[in-house]
Amino acid sequence: MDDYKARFSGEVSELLEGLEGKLLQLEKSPNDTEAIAELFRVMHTIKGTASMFGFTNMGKLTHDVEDLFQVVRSGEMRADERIINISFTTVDLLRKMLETGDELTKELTPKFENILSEVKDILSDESYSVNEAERNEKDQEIIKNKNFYYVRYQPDHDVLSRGIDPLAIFEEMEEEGEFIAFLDMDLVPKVEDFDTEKSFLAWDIFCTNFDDKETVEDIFLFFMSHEFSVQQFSGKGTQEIEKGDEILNRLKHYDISEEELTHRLADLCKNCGFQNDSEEELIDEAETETENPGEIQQIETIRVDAKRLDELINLVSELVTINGQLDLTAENSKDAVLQKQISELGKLSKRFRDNALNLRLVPVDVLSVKMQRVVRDLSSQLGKKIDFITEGTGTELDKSIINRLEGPVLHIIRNSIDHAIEMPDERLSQNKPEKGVIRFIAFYSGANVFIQIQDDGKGIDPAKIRKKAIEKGLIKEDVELTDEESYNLIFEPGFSTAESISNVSGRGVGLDSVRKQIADMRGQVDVESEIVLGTSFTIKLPLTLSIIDTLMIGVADHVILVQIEYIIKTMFVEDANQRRIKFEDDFIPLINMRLVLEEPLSNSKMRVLIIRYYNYKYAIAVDRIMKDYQAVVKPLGVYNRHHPFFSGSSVLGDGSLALILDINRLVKYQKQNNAQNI
Amino acid sequence: MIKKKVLIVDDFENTRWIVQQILQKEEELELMTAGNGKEALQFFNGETIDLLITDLNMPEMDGIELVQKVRASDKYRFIPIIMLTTERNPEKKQKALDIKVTTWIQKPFEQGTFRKIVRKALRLK
Repeated sequence: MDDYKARFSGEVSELLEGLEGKLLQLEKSPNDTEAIAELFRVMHTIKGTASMFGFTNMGKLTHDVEDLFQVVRSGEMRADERIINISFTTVDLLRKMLETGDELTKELTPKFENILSEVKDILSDESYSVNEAERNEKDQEIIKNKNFYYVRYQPDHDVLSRGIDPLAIFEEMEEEGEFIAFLDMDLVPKVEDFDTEKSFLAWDIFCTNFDDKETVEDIFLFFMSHEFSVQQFSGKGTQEIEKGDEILNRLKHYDISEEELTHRLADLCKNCGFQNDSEEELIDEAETETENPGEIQQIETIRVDAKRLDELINLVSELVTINGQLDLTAENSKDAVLQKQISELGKLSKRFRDNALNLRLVPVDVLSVKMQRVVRDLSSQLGKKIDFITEGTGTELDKSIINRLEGPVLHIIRNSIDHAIEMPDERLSQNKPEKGVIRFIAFYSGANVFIQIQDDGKGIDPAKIRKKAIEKGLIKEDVELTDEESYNLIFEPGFSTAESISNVSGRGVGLDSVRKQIADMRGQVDVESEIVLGTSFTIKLPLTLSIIDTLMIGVADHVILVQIEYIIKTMFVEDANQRRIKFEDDFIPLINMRLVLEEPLSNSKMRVLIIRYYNYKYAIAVDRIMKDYQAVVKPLGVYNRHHPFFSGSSVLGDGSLALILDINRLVKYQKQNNAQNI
Repeated sequence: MIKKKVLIVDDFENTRWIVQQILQKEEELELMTAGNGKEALQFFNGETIDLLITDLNMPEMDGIELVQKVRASDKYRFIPIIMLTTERNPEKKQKALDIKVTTWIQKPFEQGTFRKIVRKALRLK
């Protein structure tokens, strides 16, 4: 059952995210009927699955909020601020309840009660036309002429070992008609008597819109007559059912009164029509979009465990490596036919690898909802007016990058809202539009993805930053800095321009952590700004974390790979044992790799790579520069994960191993060592 | 498409042939046949079987023993099993249930029903 719970949680989280997106959409255009219909549909789905899996509280909550949207959908009520707000609170609460496994903790109970009472308030509000009694009447009218079935479904404990999945019937029920199911946990034994290979669950199911009683019974084909019973009844109520009172009694167990049941049955009937509508819509769409009206679109995505993808990519990478080795063997063999075939194989396996890597790509759009939510909540909290605009959200990035990108991006957006965008009156007094704008732009360039977060706020004053940095002891008073260099100071640890720490963005984590998190993904972040006009953060990210372009260098017996984009020049140095060397007009720190790797120093001429890392330039002295190499990155093992300057390894064509130099870490390592030396 | 592997076990070649003819139209299925329980077990050692359809009375090893052996293995504890039987005796039917078959089909059977049951057992839409 845990497996099902995990699946349920996964599905609901996804639904909630969709829900949040639609809410944001609805907030912008309250009459968006498509959004309202979708909201209703999602609430409905969550409600149905929740009570089926025994998440009774979640079922109750979504049921009540669904009622709200039912009324909105029917046009009797407008999706005003109150409804939108309560929906957002509901989404948040549902997320929490997923974590607690439907349990209402001390913290959650008041929230839960609040939502229920507010929904009741809204629904009973005089200004909204429908009241309880009328609703009852209406519902009874709806169910009067309908056929319902009541199913008591109690599979034997050994049902699993008969090769039957007791939950499979719900899939079929969904296809054939409309149903509500209540999970009966009364038969579940105490933990000590629990047997994971047995099923102790039972359900009370009400359904409608089935062709006939036989269709319902057919669903239970594999079950024996004592495991299920189907009874037909009409809208007059459960009294038509044998032992009707008993059923009503049992429903009290689930906190369902007779009236409530009437509502729910009426809901079912409404959904019948609703579902038919949407099916017709689907077919309509298919007809207009494709040339073959008969074909209904197939499911276009499948969910795959990320671990399985990683495993696949790992295997494919190894395949490419072995192919490289094979290439060498073929070259040595002088067999032209073999060489040709192996080179074909090489091309194929590279394409195979690229395809496998593509599987991990997801559009940055998945961040949109979270960002919009932050803008919405924060701007209303601070009394600011902000338009949030996204562009290029179809740009795709590796899933693991997207996951790690969320923190930094939200951090920057919070900063922009809190510090950059001015209060409406302040904006007006500067002849700016009252509403501020924050733009999130994503685009490809070469082997990189760029993400820009722009605002039209007050901008950063380089002089102010300089002053602050001197105060904090980050730079000396006489240092001359270009504006660009000044801006980058805001990424230094211990820097914060906010005059007072607000509870919004001042959470003790500065922009330095943003830079670190992005550097960990082998990315870079830069900032540009104009006073009064606004600020723009640019994040540059690699398309994938698995393959990088490197320069292969040699130091003593070590083969080391250096990411090519950091290298701006290579040159020679006569004496590699000095602390700094002259490059252009500067003296820049020299890192002798022989020293770093604890190899004996040599007095001969060494090759030098000039590395650019943000404002800093470093020279790295090495013995040999070998060739360009496209490396498939493998993480270092657990013990070496925090190595001071290597962050990965790669298997070379001849099967030997090379380490990948992490410039970010090396610079940090060098700074610390220097500090110690002083 | 990965096909579902269905193993059909019956000592009458005729029955095996009929069952194959009926199921051949279902393109999601890959069919295999065996003449008795012993032969059938060979298949379970090799590939992954998704559904077992077996006769009850067979020489060498009957359906009951076959089902018990299959259910006793870790891999196939929860496999769906359909038992074909001419048996009308309720006691024997109870016996089939006791050894935990998923469902049984009374011979002679109607094609449509048979197909429906097989699809349902494999959870095909």
